[in-house]
Amino acid sequence: MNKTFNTPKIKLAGDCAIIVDIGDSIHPEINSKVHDFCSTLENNKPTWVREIIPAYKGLLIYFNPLEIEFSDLNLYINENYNKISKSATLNNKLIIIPTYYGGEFGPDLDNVINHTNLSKNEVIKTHSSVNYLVYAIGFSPGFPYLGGLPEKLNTPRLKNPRIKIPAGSVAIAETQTGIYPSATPGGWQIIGKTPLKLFDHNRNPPVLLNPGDKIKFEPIKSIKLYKTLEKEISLNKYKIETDEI
Amino acid sequence: MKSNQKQKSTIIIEEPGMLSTIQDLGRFQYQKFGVPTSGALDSLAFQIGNILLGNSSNNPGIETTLSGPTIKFKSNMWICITGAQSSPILNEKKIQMWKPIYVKENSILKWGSLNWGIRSYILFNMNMEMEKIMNSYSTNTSLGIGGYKNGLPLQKGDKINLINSHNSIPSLNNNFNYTKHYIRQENNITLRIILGPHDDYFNQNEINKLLSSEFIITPQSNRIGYRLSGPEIKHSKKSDIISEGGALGSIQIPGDGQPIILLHDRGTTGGYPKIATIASVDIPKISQAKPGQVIKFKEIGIEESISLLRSSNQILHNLNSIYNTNYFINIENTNKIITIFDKNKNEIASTKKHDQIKQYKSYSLNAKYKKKKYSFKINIG
Repeated sequence: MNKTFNTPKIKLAGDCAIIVDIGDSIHPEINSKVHDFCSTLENNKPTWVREIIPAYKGLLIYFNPLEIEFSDLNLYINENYNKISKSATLNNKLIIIPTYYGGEFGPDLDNVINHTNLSKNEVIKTHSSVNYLVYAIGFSPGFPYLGGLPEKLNTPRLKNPRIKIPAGSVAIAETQTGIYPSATPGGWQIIGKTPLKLFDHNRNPPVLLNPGDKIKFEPIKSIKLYKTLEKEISLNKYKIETDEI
Repeated sequence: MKSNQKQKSTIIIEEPGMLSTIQDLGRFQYQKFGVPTSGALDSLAFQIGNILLGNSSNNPGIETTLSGPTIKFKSNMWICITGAQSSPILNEKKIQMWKPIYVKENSILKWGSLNWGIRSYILFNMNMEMEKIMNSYSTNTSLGIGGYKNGLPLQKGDKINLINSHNSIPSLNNNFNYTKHYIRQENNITLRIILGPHDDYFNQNEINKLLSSEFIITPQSNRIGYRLSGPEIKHSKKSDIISEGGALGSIQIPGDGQPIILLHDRGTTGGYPKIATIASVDIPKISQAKPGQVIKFKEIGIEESISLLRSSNQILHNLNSIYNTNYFINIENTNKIITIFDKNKNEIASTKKHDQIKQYKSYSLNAKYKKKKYSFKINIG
């Protein structure tokens, strides 16, 4: 199976950036190579490379055009593409996201129940039974683009987006599921909430999840337990739970 | 002579203006975590102001929007105002822009009529004493990150503490000419663009439409992006892409066919096709444009775009070597003399004794130093 390009496709994004695509679809195999490519470039980063932003199927590379000719830039991309090393970041760890489903933390759980014709328990069980892949981080600070939502949970967006979705909200929109790291407006169906902080600028790195990570939601049994976890997290006493895959 | 001891000061925001934020050149290396760069939209005006003050070009300043803030200065300092023609007024008298101005303690800065542009920059020869968030002072109001406090714009009563960063005096040969080195201050805006990265989502007709039509800037324009209104640019394939990073100045075309120009507070990734990207040198032009104004696009090649960027960079580099000084100034009302020192605190020039050092006056000093002649002009605000 060869889903990735033999040579990367390079497109201009203005005079200081390029898009480098190595595939043309959303696929775990392509995405995994994107992140390996990204860390290969990061490990061999000349001064004229300013920033690299990985996404689903390629990278955005900001560079300084006054320090490098295009032909040399092409060479740098292609050479590194041919020596991608499976990065050390390859991990078999599964990060557990404790989540309270429904109630005041999941005001749209009923919408999902109605749309999918599943029971409350079935929705929760289905959502928390699979592993999700973090394809990319973007849109807003620490927001994970997750892949792997079981098809039977697909639910359209709200007709009227909310002005404010609380930080930590776990939500569904069409074929996607996600976690809001900070309070933002949004039209996704909120089914629960995690007390974990996905983004904290005082932390290094500021994000909890990195591209390539795999996560799993784990239902929190009671509000009381949620509050206990929340307190432990705020006191820095909580250790992120992981599982072997 | 105590000419370069550490000095602290405070400025007080008496009225905030419409949207005044603290900015530097931006927050870099955090985009992979989803954090926008933010930073001064008109980075050219911002950098020139800092250079004229002898600062590093990344020294934080205040970005105004349409109406500027009323500021009270608690002690003497140098400031420089650049960008939009906003008629700054110090203690009821008009002061010049693009010139370092010596502001005396308890002075009050206000603004007159706005004659061109919408964003002015107030720069200080001091650094700001506040916490950097992810290595930058820049404010992102939509995410609540950075700036004076929790990403908020400046508010009435805010007290910004400043600390002397270098203490040098600005601009000995103070003849900077903004009409020569800054963007042309005109109301017809043509933005030069480079096609791509997703021009293949549009057929040639639609690209021609983009290049030949006039677009109006809508009121839904801000530091995240400028929304334009004009003929519908139709997609030949889908109107969405698999989400990926978006560069500064990207012109994205969402489903309704109305272009959005992405600026400094843009989300790091997005899912709309980007038909073209604005040349870096024209970002200040769009940053100074206001709703209701008409803009046009002109296609240029990547080589031309880079060569324009090279020239612009060279100008900043040249200004830096002219204005980056190692001289220190002492203005003492008690002694009624203005004195200039070199970095070893040797006096190299001073005025004759005045009855008093008056506001709104320029003082000229001539000096011979290391076999070179210098003339200094000090504008007292």
